[in-house]
Amino acid sequence: MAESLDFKRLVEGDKAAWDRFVARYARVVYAAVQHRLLPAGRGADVEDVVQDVFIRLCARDFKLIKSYDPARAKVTTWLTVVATSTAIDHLRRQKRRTDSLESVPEVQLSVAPVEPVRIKIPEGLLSPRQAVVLEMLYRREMEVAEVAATLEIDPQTVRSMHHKALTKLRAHFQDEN
Amino acid sequence: MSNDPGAGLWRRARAAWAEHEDPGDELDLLPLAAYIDGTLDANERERLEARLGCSAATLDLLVASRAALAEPAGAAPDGVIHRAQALVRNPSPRRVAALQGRWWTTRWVETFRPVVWSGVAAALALAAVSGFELGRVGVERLAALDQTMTEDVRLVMGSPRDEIL
Repeated sequence: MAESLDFKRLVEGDKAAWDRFVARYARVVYAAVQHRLLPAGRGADVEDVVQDVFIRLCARDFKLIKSYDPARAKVTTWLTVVATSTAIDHLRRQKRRTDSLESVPEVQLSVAPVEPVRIKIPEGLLSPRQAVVLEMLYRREMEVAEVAATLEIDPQTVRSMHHKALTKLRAHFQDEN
Repeated sequence: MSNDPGAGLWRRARAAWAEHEDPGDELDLLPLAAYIDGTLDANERERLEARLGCSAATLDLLVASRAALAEPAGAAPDGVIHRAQALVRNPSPRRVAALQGRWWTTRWVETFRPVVWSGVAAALALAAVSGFELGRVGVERLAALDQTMTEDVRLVMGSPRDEIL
């Protein structure tokens, strides 16, 4: 990975190392938070959420930074995931505080984070990838090309998985009926 | 969701199989970043995809992170940078002194570590020799004392009672 960084000094609490880290990667964190909050109409919260991300990074004696392994992912990718996760948590908290969903504009609801719900698929019914494809196509209403790009597979493979998954689902619910 | 029959079927499946996600089941963010960068091995990838298929929140995080990475990041405002930098402060003079103290202790230990074991061996050898010497001297003194006492007893036994009194 090209993004060399003195993680040893950073996790030792070295002030200069922390300042360099922030100066170098604040734009990555800022962009990820902004990308998630602006469409949800929470642009005013961006700076506070960016601060939350950095608090999360240095909290409990830099525990989160200590968990990072440069051999597994680029710093920019990892920080984007951390920042996006923090922004989603923020939106989820805001959503819970909202008294009535009717007061929230439609455009904001479309990007609101989902509540943590787990789908327990019956054993052996769908492969993990088939379930991901159905979730992306139907719940997130993504295009086949977008699904293919996200999973880094061929669009034709997405279509084929989609078709097979629906066939299995039909058969499953017919049996149930 | 759209009016596609497939969408209806998936909606039905989700409704039938949905359950609340355990809040304690927190996602480790590094494997997700590794998934995006394509560095997961086949097993790890399959495990993560199994989670993506059943956890809507994890899938949303993946899609949103990928979308954010696809867009160029502009500069962050200076105020944001300064505020974040202020989260970690310079250590206080007392902390610096403590750290320096610790540094000197560490340095001292590292410098003398090679001679520690030979020092321990020398001390043990010295203790053994001293112990042996002390024992030998003690035995000699006891023997001398024993001999003196024997002669005293012999003198007492050889003398008339009146002379002793």
